[in-house]
Amino acid sequence: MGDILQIKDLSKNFTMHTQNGAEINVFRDVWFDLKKGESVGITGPSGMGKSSLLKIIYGSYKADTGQVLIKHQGRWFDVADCLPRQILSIREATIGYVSQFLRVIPRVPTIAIVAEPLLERGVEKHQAYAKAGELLIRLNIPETLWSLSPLTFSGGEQQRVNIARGFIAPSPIMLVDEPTASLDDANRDTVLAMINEVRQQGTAVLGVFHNSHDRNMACTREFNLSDFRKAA
Amino acid sequence: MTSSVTSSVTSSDAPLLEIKNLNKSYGKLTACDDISFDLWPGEVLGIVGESGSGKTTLLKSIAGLVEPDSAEIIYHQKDQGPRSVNDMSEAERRILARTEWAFVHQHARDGLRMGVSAGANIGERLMAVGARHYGNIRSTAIDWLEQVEIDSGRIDDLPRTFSGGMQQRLQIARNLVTHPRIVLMDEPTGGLDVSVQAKLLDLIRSLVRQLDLSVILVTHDLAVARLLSSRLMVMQHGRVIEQGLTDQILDDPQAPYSQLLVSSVLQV
Repeated sequence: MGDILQIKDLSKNFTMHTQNGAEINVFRDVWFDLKKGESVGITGPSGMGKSSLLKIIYGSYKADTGQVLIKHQGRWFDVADCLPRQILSIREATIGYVSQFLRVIPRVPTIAIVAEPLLERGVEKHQAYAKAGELLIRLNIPETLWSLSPLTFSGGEQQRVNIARGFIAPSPIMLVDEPTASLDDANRDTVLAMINEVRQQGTAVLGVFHNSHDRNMACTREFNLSDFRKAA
Repeated sequence: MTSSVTSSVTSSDAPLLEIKNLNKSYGKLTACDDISFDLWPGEVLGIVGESGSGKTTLLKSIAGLVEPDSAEIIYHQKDQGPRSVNDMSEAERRILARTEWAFVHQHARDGLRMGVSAGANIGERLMAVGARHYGNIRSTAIDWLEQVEIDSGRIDDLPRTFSGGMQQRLQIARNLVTHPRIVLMDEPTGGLDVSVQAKLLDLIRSLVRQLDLSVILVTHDLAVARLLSSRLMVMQHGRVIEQGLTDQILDDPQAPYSQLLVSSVLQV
């Protein structure tokens, strides 16, 4: 009941053709369910494929075997076997992904970058910009910077711009990859609070967190990916 | 609980353009080897690959600027349903090329008339679709110059007095003034300074969204492809090696050649 994401029998390998076809087996036969209103922190040592799992769910990595079932507009779709435009439509309405890195076109002002997801959903420009401004204030990006491109900002500022953009129009499923990695304590607490707020509004959160403190603050349970590591 | 997994699409129903089995050789050299793909409404499809991979030949074959050896091209024309472009008369194709389709050349001088003013370059395409009122044509031209961020005071100047970036923006204005549905772009940012490129990328991106354009974008620059396109095809030796979502192709390329292409990009 309430499931919005079901992962079945999922395996991921990388074949590095430019390095003599070296094979990296990331994980095998992963099973996992995610419900509305819960927040799950993926655990496991570095290199266990935590970020890879998020990217497979988002459709930016390919799966080798298994299914990634996502409930999108009342129907189940297997992201591991969807056409590109289906994945784009799922991203538009159902899945958001917030990484710690910002990728932007040079020259576009910060406020426009943050407001863009709302504009894409058809929200009026002045409303979208007002909402973007609220988030930027909350994340301590001074108004004097809003009209500038974030390319020259510090790492932490860029990350906060990225988070503002990621949370301005929360999706039913939010994938977050180390959203607090380079933030100071105050901003970290704000981001953790924002994750809790969207979860309480019914969003299902799946994330990789920087440390156990942040994970405990943001998550309702853990999912240990190292249980799915097998020798090839 | 998950008895019915859907794999059909709910929203867009039909592609805008279907390319089937496009072949083109120059003597012994195969530029396009049996290429088939669809372009969907509102999408930007990037075609990437090294020089000589056949991507520009493919684009020009679709546009009718190069005659393919064989191909079926089906265009879903406004209010008319699917039509085979092959069956159209030369005159019909010319009208299509001036109205619902547009082609942005890598070198602006190939897409502009260098001997007439900026305003005339924009007005010419309008007149080709029947506009006759001089005042209206001029005011539309001024609008478009402003849209592509060219000072409207330059309307009577010749394009050759413009910088490379301005020429390219003028070429885009000339193409978009008739509100095409499909825009074919051949390395639109190639040969421009990096700072000028950024401005042009930003402009192309916002115009694509505002005008709901469907675009086929040929580029060798993976960063440009990532910023502009939602879907990518990788070409090598005239064949499509891999295709998929842009971020999947760039972040988790599967084919050996795509991996080589992605791993060869310098990180900045």
